[in-house]
Amino acid sequence: MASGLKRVGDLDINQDLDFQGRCWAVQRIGWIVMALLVLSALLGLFGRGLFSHTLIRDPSIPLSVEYERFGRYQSPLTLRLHVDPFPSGDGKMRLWFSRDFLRDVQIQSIAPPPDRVELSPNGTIYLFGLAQPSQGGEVTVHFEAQTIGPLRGKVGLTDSPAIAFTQWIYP
Amino acid sequence: MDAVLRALAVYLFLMIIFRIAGRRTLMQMTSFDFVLLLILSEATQNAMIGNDYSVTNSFLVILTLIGMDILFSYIKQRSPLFEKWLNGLPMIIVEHGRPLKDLMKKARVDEDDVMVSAREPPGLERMEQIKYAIIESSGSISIIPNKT
Repeated sequence: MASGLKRVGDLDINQDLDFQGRCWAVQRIGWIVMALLVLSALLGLFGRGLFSHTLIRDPSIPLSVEYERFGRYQSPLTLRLHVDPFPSGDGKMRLWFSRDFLRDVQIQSIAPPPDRVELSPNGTIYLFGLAQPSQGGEVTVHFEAQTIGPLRGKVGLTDSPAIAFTQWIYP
Repeated sequence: MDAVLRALAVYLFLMIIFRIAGRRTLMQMTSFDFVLLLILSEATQNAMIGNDYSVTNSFLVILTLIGMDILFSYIKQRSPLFEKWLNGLPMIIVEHGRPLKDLMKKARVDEDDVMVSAREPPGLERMEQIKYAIIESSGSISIIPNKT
């Protein structure tokens, strides 16, 4: 026991009303912080919500990426890739993912499943057959982040520049 | 490494949260407090264990938690200031039958709570029979009856 004993009335007690006041002040601040944290969670600052969900579109590429800005370690995340109609010579669509992204995530599923997967030096190419040669489509990737902090990824159609995106992964 | 860090984070987080929440939290142990305790343990469990259900992991978590407890009790003994901030201090809330309303309000206890404690072992009936009521750092209320 810390020896802060004082005589108050007939009591030996280490009462300290000044300290108590400071304690309450800190508590009040703590409550405000707690409320702000809950509020920011509701707004999606910790994943899945208004400020988390976003879409990147690059007008020069027929591809847009819908993703969550904030995610959590080893929790499910979704990446949605919208491919606008584009000229495809062989009726195939090749989606390319950068290697560093694939190294930091565990892909749970890709819907629809690709016809073929090809390896390239700086990433992986997922090949999808198109119903009509120059049609687009939508591909959904379900994955879990295996890293904490910024998760950087690049995705593109093989013959176009890639779209880069960054997600922040909370522990 | 993971297991230790997880346990450490959860321990510190809970300590800070409970200190901020105030000492009355989970102290009255109403049936709802009990339920709250169960839900809290359920929620923290996942954070500490992750998806590693091995015996080694659980041992590491337990070692870390108990280790932190020992470490903190050691520091508390060494540093009165640290103990003050971590545990809080006792405070007199009734003096010679007179409730100190301002302090009670800030500590979030009311005269009812005091009388509940007064009825228990001292078996007191009225506020005037209380010489001192003290809210302890644990959150419980001690009653010292008037001798007369």
